[in-house]
Order: sequence, then C-alpha cells, then structure tokens
Amino acid sequence: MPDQADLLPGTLDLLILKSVSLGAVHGYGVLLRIEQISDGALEIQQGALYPALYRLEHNGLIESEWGTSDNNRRAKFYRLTRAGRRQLGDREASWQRLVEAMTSVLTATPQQV
Amino acid sequence: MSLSGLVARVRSLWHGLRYRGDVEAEMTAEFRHHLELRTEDLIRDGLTQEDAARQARIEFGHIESHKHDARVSRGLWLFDEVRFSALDVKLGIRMLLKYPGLSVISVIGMSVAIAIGAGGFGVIESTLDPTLPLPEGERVVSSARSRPTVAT
Repeated sequence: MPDQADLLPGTLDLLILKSVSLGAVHGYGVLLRIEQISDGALEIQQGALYPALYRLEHNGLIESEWGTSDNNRRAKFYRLTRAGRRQLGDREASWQRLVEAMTSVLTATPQQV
Repeated sequence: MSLSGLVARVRSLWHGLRYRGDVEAEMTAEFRHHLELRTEDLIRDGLTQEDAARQARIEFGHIESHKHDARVSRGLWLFDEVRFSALDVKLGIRMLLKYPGLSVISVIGMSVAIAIGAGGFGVIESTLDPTLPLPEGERVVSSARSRPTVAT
C-alpha cells in the first residue's frame, strides 16, 4: 500500500473541482477518481466529501443533475460550471506557485544564502 | 466575492428554503447511493454482504453529522436554528393552560423582573446622564453664562 499523504487545508476543494472537470460524475465517483489518479496516496474521508460538494454547488462552481448511473440506479451527477472552470484555473496556478516556492526553499543549499 | 458567486448563493439558498423537503430527501438518497456502491465494491473485494455494508457505514462516518455539515454548506443551518414553528407555539399555549398556577407565577415573576430591570436602568441613566428639567431638556448639550454689555 502506498504511503498516504495528509491533505493540506483547502486542497479538498481543488481536488474535487479537478475531478469533476474530467467529466460529469457522482459523489462516489469523485472519490474513486481522486484515489485512482493519485494511486491511492490521497484518500478522502468519505462522508466529508458531501459537505464540500454542496459548498461548491452553493457557490455556483459546480452544478448537479439527477441521472442514471452505470448500474441503472438514480444518481446525482456533478459537472463544472463556467465559474468553476475559471476558479479551477486560478487555484491550479496558485497551487503551482506554492509548489515552486516550497521546492526552491526546500532544495536550497548553504551557497545560496 | 464575485457577482456571479453572490447570485449563485442566493439562488441556492432560495431553492433550499423553498424545496426544503426535496433537498433533505435528495441528500438521503445520495448518501444511500454512495453506501450501496461502496458496499458492492467491498463485496467484490471479498467481504460478505453484511460485513461489506457495515464496513461501508464505518468508512462513511456519522451520517447525521455529515448532513449537519451539508446544511451549513448550503447556508440552511441558520434558518433551521431560528425557524419559527407553529407547533412550538401550539404546544406552549397548551402547557400554559394545563398548568395555570405555574403560568400565573411566571407572569408575576417576569413582571417583577422587568420592573426591577427597567427601574434600575432608569436610576443608572438619571445618574450617569441627567437631563435638565426643561421641555426637551435632553437636547441641551451645553450652557453658558453671558453678560451682555449695555451701552450707556
């Protein structure tokens, strides 16, 4: 089993937005996508996903629609809105800046200071 | 917050309050769907139906607290807290009639408490912020003596 990484505060929303941006998906599917893509390194506490999904929907970043899932059950599918796509772009860029800054600090050598 | 974000919030809140029952039912259905899918996955992993269902519930966590968090996410929680229930009023009146002695004592108790409170407030106000005994005395902010010089 791969090492599990702790989620930083605020990253759950970004993960959900990214996961939903890959195509309409129901709640359980969001979890599966994140686990699958991160190769099991990121695991989200299952029930905690829904308050986050509803918050994103409340803020107009994702929208939902009832449909039929693969196994012929009624399921609520989420998709990204235009505002959500814009927000995802902004958050991705800000995440990249953070990663670059952290990397340059963590790889600093005595000669650099 | 952007304008579109504000519009989305107001719309979501309106929908939540207008179709409150549907929102709750959808949430229950969505959680159930999640638990069913998770149970099926666990059965595929080799668990028995019963163990899988139990494991899925454990992994999901406390359903009611997730529902509470979800209501907070939708901004509905505050409305629930202050919701004025007709049933509460009916029940209150019925209890007052059922125990008239207690009702009379409560009314007397409240009148005395309010009178003491108001009286105390009056005393404090007249001490800290006295007004002049004149018509509209509270509007007087300063007074000064003047001695007009009379030309002779």
